[in-house]
Amino acid sequence: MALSKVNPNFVGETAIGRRNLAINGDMRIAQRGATTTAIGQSANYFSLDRVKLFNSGGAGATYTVSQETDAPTGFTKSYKIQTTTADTSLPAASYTILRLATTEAQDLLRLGWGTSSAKSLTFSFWVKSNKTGDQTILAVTHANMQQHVKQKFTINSANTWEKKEITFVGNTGTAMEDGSAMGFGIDIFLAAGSNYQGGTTSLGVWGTRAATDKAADTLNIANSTSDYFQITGVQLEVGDTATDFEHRSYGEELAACKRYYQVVSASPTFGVDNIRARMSLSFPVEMRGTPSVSQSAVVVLANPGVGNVTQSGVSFSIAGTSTNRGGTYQLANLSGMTESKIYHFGQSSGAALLQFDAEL
Amino acid sequence: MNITSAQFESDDNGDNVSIQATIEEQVLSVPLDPANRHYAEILKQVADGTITIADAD
Repeated sequence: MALSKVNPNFVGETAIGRRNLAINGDMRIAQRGATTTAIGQSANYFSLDRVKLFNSGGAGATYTVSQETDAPTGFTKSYKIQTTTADTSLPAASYTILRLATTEAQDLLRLGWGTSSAKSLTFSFWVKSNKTGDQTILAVTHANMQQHVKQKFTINSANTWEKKEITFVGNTGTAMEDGSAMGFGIDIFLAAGSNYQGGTTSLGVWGTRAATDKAADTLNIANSTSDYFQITGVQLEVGDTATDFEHRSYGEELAACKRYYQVVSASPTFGVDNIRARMSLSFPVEMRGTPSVSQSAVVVLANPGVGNVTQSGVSFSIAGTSTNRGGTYQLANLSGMTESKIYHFGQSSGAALLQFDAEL
Repeated sequence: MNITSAQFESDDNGDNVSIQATIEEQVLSVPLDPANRHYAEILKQVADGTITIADAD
């Protein structure tokens, strides 16, 4: 084929193969459920996978996070944060941050950061809000680097999907250390107190994360219960050009999410004594690190021969060996169990889930 | 990260294997792995004097 017939978008290392470093960029995966309400002071992952929300510093604002079917052409889902309690006088130290495209350091070493040939990153996304105006957006390095570079985007029309493309220059100053620790993320300060609005750093210049102007421009969605911010089509790619969104299969995206968070809804267990049951699990996807474990609701363990046993309260813990590949775990707060009998978790437990968290 | 309680959990040999912690109003069993974000934050808050970890029962 003559070279003139080759689409230039598919020539060069940035566009060959898997381009999107962001996982769940099309917001289809929501292992924690489609909606989380009444999010007060907190820093956690709610509803949709791979999107972290910080609501910190004493603000009175509360939010609902949800997976919406409202999305621009070519997408079916979006992430929405809706203000449910407003705070019109934010404390100086308060902030609401949406953290996207978090990436392990080991997946970014090919950028050559810390060298004169450090590669740029381009972040593209679709956004919609009732608020218009400028919004600061930060590319942030973590682990050994602890720096950020600032850019901004503008929402031109209220309640309208708009596509934004932002390029962050490569960091020539500091190399990223290898490993599975958090290396990089995109932070958007959707609301912030005065502590974060007083600096003067320039756009496109890497500097320490201690800079005070992380929210030099903010939509301030904490101001009214009418305020919301919606996003989808998130793509982070190497180079200085945004290409079309890389659509991956649902199964592939779900498997990628499970490296950081997964749930178990059924498993055989055995009675340790009359109040505890244990299980050994092997994760279908090796996790980033040894996960924290929890359960979403009390479970019912079923054994047709000796009857069902219902937990009096949630209690799910690491019982011994535990790694990023699986381990031995224990359910407690049971009564009337028979030692060594097999009980089925999941047969009669309703929506109860065992949760495994190895998030960045 | 808001941590309101932390207590070691031990295995059948009495060795500490995890920490039961209430983090962001959720009860978690946290492995003693520095790469785990919850454990890293527990260690930080212990170093800062914000929390202490109770012995296992």
